[in-house]
Amino acid sequence: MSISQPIPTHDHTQIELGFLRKYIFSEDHKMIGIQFLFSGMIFLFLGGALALLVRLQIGWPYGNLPMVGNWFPASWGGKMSPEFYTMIFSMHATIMIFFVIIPWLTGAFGNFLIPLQIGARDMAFPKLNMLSYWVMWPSFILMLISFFVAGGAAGSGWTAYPTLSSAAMPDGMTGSPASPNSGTGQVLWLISLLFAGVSSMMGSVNYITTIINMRCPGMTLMRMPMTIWAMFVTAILQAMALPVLTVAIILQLLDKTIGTTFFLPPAGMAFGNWHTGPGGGQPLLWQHLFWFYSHPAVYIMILPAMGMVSDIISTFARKPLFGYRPMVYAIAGIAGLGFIVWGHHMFQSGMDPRLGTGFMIATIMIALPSAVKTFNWLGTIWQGNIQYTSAMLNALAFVSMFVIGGLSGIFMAATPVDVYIHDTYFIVAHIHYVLFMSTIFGIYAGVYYWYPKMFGRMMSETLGKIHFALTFLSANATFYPMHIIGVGGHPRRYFDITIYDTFQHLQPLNAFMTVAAIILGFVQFIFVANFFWSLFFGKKANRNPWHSNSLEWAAPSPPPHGNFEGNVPSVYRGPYEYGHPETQEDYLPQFEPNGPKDTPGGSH
Amino acid sequence: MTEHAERLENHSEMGIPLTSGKLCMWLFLVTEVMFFTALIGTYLILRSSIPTHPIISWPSPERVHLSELIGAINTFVLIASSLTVVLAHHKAYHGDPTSATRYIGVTLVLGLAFLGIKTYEYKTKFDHDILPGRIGELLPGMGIQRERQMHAIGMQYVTRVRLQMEAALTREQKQFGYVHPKVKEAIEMLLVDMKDGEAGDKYRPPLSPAQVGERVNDILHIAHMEHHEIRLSPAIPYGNMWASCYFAMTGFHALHVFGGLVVFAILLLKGLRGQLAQQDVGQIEIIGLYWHFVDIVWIFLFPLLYLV
Amino acid sequence: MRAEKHETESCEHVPNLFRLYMFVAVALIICTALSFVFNYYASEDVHTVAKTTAFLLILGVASLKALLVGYIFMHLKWDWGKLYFLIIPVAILGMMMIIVLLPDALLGVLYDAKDQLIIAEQFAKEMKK
Ligand code: HEM
Ligand SMILES: [Cu+2]
Repeated sequence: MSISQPIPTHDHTQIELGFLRKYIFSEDHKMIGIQFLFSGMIFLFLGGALALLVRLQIGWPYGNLPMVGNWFPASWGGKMSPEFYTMIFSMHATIMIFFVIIPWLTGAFGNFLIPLQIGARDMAFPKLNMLSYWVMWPSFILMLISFFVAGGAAGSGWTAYPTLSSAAMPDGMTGSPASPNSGTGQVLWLISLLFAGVSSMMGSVNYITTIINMRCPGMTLMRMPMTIWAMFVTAILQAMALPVLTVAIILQLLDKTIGTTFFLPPAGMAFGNWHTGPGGGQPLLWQHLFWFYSHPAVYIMILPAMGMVSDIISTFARKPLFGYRPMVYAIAGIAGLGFIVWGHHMFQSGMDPRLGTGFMIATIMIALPSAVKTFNWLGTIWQGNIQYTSAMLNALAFVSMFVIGGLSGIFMAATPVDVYIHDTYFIVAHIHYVLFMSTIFGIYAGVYYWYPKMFGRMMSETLGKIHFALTFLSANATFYPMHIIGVGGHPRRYFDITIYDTFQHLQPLNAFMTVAAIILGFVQFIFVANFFWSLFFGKKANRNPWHSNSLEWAAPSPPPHGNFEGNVPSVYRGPYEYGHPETQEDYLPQFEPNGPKDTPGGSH
Repeated sequence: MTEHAERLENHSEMGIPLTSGKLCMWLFLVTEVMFFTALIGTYLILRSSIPTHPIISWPSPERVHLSELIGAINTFVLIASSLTVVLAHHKAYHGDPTSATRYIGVTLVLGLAFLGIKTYEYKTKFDHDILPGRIGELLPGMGIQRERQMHAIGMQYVTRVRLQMEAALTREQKQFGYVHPKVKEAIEMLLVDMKDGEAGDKYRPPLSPAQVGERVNDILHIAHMEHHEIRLSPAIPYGNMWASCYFAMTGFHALHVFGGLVVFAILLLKGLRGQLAQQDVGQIEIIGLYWHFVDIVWIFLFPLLYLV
Repeated sequence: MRAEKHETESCEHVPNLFRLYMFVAVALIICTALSFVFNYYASEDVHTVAKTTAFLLILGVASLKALLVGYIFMHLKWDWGKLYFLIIPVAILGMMMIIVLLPDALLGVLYDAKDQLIIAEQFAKEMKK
């Protein structure tokens, strides 16, 4: 009985694929991951530009915009129109969430890391994997087209609540409660997200199968790196939550096109001689279905980053991860609880108040596993031999910013407090602390850390540190004051709040945040420059530049088709044996036997 | 090589002893369970948010021309097809590709029969105009407040019905040279009453949308009694909601059936060419899993839509 | 594909599998008939069983049928040990979702349809006169 996988009958490295098969319609998980990385980067800049426009409007409401104003239609007089403003903040959120963060975390890092870290030659279904990338493109394209249709792209927020979104307003009609962009733009938005959903679904089914069935000998479940655990749980979340969003989207689409009334109020809605058709449905139902997906989705948007950060912190603190098992259970706990807290987005929406209490308790409970994770990260760093690489700095930023974001979450989770801060800038501060400053820092950490494996070259540490410092400062300057104006009552999604006297005094802070945001935006070009410069001129990386333990570092940088030369490695221990007392080096990789008698062992 | 070693090679010892294909199908089914749970949940919630009252309540199957018998026949058809799929797998496993092919063929035929019956059912819905966005929703005995609230929607319905009736008078006459006199009389009376005018020496206001709805239902009743087919949008309280749910649920189920049939057709072709090999056993099992799931969905849709 | 054969080993080696399948199919058909019986007794003209009871009974029968199909046809009898970790969570989740939403549905009755109910009552009274 041989333990390691047999040598494949044909040597994977020998096959020379044409350009198209290698870079475009690739079935190689690494190339697909990199494709996701690049398309995410494109959309990060589109989404970022939209965000800056939003900030410009809030910073100097209805001001004459210097350069940007020239691009607007002449009839606007160099100023932004309210409809345009609504459209750009909706599209900013949509693009960032569905086209940047989710594809980056699960698409790019999931694809690249899963087979490498579990010791597989590829995903379980390479063709499905390729498809999951290419199904994103119809989604991208439809979303981009929607900017140019009559009425513009969707403008009812990324949450697309009916009746604001589902009651389409015909051209030239006013006085409808619907958002002006909710015609064709909204329909395209819905179809586009359907495609994105299908892509995620294919990805998640593939990841779960791969992680369950394709692990190399000795890689037991409890020897998997945290990244893999996080990806696994994320994929499960996706598989179970996404279909519900799919249904919600389809039902809204039917409402908007063929006259069904799932999300329209019983009496229908009529304004002048314009009306929605008979009703009978429930607007609130959309919110339930939407958040049933979208709350788990916010965890989809952070769990993989948590996993990657765990690995990175352990590597650069040169210490075993503190409390591996609790970390795993915490992830599972977050995922489990994540399914029963969606109502905390609806405290103020008229849902049955008895439900509110239950949702509040569940939401506050979710802070427990989150705290377990935070304290375990701190425990890992504690007395570690910390190496302040760019990756580590970003990972540390992740931890500290997640603490702030998590704490603001607890405030909002309390129903009485949420009455006051719901739909204010406090929420905006929260989402940006968890999504921008946690997840994006986590992603940056991941890029710095795995760049050598992806492209075989090191990124510049100097540029990396400059980029980190500037981003950290300007991001805090941008988002921290949002807590303050939020508690001051500044509503979110308003076109111009200076018309209310109460908010006048917040305006200087708003202008300050806009300046910080502009700096933040431009600082990201340092990262891009570093990324592309290193692609061609970076120092050549060896197999294991960080002296890490997990399996991907057993493969050459970059790994060839089929990942590992010769046999797939066997795994002898968990991935966190740093500072092992029995070894001379301060690390002991998973794939190296410790002495001749060491055997992989383990089952499942 | 012993079977044991062969298996080790495929699974490299780790993981659960299922092929990736089968595991993937089960995962897909998990997503499908959530999909249909959300659909059925939507239905249950919308339905239970509607009062139960002799006059306004969720439409009964008769009210929307839904035949329990047809539903039951379809249930039998799907159960039978589920049976033939497992039998196909059984036969294929025991090295009898000819019987397996035959069973796949039967499954295909049964699946097509299901879709055929479904099509017939949809056609009756089209004939009776029980479609989303077309049914008169106005509730009987509605107060003035409510009528005003729903006025625009009601007028939309009134306009549609007027056009339908005018069309019925001309088209039916052209087609059959005959409209049943009772029906014709009722339609003409309604058309007159829908205009405002004078009755005796008094001004007579036109009918309200709710009244039109009641009259239309009467006409449909007369036509039904006289075995006369006529296409008028009926007025059914919550009928629009019903039609929305009905078409969404059965529509997605039918799409799933169709998807399964495509695979069965491919397998059947393979079998007829005599290419059904031992390795297809796994595939038959996997598509079988899918097919049984589709069956289970119908097992729930049938009572929820046709019974109670 | 090669290893697929061994997967099903466990179930396909059961003696009299054919008869088991047939038995299940017959049971399914009997169940369908049973739900018809319940439906009949709950219908307007007979009404010996309350509507809600009949609804629950019929749903119970449907669940039984689903279990039969899953257990035998989908081979869960043999594969349960390998798949329970998928099926149990999704079953809990699905049911929970519907149950959690129900209070809101009843809210719908309370607020949206209340006036309609009043109207209907009035209408019923007028009819009696
Ligand atoms: C300690 C854990 C957390 C708690 C207790 C929490 C709580 C909440 C609550 C109560 C709200 C609703 C506020 C309102 O609209 O009134 C909310 C909104 C939000 N949360 Fe969290 N949260 C937590 C972690 C996270 C994480 C990790 C993410 C994402 C990675 C996240 C993303 C969001 C987003 C995007 C929204 C706003 C959605 C919108 O209305 O547009 N949260 N959070
Ligand atoms: Cu949430």
